[in-house]
Amino acid sequence: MNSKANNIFIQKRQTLLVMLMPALVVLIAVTIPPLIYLFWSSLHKWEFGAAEKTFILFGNFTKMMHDTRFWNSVALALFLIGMAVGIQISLGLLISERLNRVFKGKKIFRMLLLLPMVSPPVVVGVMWRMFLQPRLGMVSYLLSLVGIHTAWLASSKTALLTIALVDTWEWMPFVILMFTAGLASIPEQLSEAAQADGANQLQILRYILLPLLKPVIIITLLFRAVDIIKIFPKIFIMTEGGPGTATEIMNFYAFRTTFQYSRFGYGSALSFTIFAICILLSVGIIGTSKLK
Amino acid sequence: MKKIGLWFLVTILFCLLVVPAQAQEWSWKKAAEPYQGQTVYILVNFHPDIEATLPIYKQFEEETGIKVQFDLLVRRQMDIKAETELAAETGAYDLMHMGLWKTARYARRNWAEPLQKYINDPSLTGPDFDLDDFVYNALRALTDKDEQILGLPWSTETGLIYYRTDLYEKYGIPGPPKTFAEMEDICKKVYTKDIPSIALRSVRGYGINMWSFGRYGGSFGGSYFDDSMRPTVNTEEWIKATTFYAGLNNKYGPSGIGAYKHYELVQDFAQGQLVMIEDAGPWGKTFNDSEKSKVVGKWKAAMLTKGPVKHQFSHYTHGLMIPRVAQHKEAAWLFLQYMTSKEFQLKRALLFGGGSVTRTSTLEDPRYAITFDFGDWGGINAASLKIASAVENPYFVPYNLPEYKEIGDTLGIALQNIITGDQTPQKALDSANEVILGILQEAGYVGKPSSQFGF
Repeated sequence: MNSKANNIFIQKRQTLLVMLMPALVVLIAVTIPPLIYLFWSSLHKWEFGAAEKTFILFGNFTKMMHDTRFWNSVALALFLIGMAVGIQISLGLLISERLNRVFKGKKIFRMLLLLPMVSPPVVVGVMWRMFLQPRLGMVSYLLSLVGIHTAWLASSKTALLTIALVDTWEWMPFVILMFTAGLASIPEQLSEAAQADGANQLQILRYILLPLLKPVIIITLLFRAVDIIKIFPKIFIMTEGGPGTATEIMNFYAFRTTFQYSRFGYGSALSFTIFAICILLSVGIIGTSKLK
Repeated sequence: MKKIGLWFLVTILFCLLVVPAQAQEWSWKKAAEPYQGQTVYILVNFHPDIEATLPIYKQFEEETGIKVQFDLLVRRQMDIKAETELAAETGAYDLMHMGLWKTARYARRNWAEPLQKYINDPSLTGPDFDLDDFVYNALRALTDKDEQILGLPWSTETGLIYYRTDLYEKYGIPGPPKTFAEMEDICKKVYTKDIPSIALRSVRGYGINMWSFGRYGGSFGGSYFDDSMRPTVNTEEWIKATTFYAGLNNKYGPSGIGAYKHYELVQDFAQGQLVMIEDAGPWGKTFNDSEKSKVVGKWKAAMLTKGPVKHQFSHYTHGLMIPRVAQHKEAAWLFLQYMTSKEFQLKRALLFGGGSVTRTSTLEDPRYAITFDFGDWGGINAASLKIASAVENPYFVPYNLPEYKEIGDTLGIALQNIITGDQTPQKALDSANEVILGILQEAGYVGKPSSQFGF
């Protein structure tokens, strides 16, 4: 009997593998070779359009270690992740907890909430650049009415923060959607029971909702962190990496090196490093959260 | 002997009668006959002179039967697309934008088709095509170090000072500044928070802040390299130049000047929000357009100011080149020849106001001066171009190095950091100097005589 069951199990597994194979082959074919090519390019000194490339092993990676602009771009990416994800997760939790309750106009509010997320990133960049124009921008004007006169994108002290805030404006709906879905899956009886035991709202959030929401929070955190490392249109349109190098995060530096300075080899090394950081970040976040 | 003499006479008669007759017979239609039905694909940037070209190029299609398809992109995106297409050798375009600092890069990669063979081919090139009529620096900008012509220019420009005549009158300023000292003096007198005195490009970039700042280093006596091609952009002269440039912007410029590119300068000036700007020649047309400008009739143009050491000009030339891998080279050459011809340049200027022409004959045509009489623009622009493009005024900026993009960007970052106050001039320029040294070392230039590179 056992042997029969085993056979059925093996057969089922084999069928599954056979059925999965085409998808797996396509997936591997479209992801692995480009990565191998990227890594191979990163081992060369190679300029865009040059017929010859020189194999320099890890020369580009060694150069990267001494490149102050690269380290600046790494630090900026980490700051941006810290600021943007910090604001998005904390605010997102508060808003979605409120949205989880029944109130009048909830559907309309949810619909309006989605608008920034569905706007094309290029539109978001152009729109906020115009809003924040120091002399003619609407947001700058409104802020000036309450005594705030800041050229948001012209100062290195505020440019990165502004990018973080615009990113928050754009992606907060996604965070809220994720958290709202997570909250909806938590049985109401748990909160009601805690309430009956005398727990206040903060305690319910701290001891019931947050632990149960942890997997959703981790996944959201991961999505947003990786997304921010790859952020491009907003920076390209709003600051072009400036003032100076104040918003030149890794992704943008790799783009500039590859396509503006035509250093394809070094640009590949930078891009491969970004890829490795994304993988490490994912493994790190999932690993430390013990999410399985 | 008599027979040879007869043959000689016949040959001479043939040359005298038939060859000129053939030359006279040259026409666009005849030259284009073998290429009828082909489509010439062009990658070029949005530009006032291209806007002025679009309404009239159709006549070429009618005359030749060759179709022309423009692909217009914003400058930066176009630059990236162009180099990507060229590196990948797609052959998607038959004509592509060519500019002052692209010539050396394209020549190094052998991306551009040398044009001399087309120029010398009488079946493809009309007898009226006059190479010597191009503004000297405009053609030189598209000629490589081996004297190969890699592109032909359709627009050439130098910087101008645009100033508000009504506000000058209000503050009792007799006329535009002629020196940097006068420039600062006027800025002091006319500054108000509502309408600041001046704005200069701040945003980093080899083609953004470096386009206007490029001349300041030379005006203060600085140079990019020493005799052995080591960078010298952190000397006293450069510190003075960056301090002056940043000072004008910070003391007398608008709020948020650190994020200003040419678009913001032009927008603010056109909306009456600035007293002066220093920027490219073609904007005159915008300021005179009542749909785009609130200062029509209230502004004038002036020549760029002299520095303490030199009278340096900014410069840029836009052109088109035929990629080496283009699919319709002959048809492309015919359109390039047409678009840069004396007749077309004059027509474009007179009919649609694209004033930054590349033909000396157009600049000297009395009708040009009449058409562009507004705000002294036509005369000042032509006079500035004449000085800026003179043989004795070579470029100060190292456009002829393929690495200029990276060098310019590095210096541009330093300048923006100085303007925003993030770094002192000394610190920013020391850092830029070090990075540029690395670029030059990697290129193998350091140690070689700078005269070898034309400096």
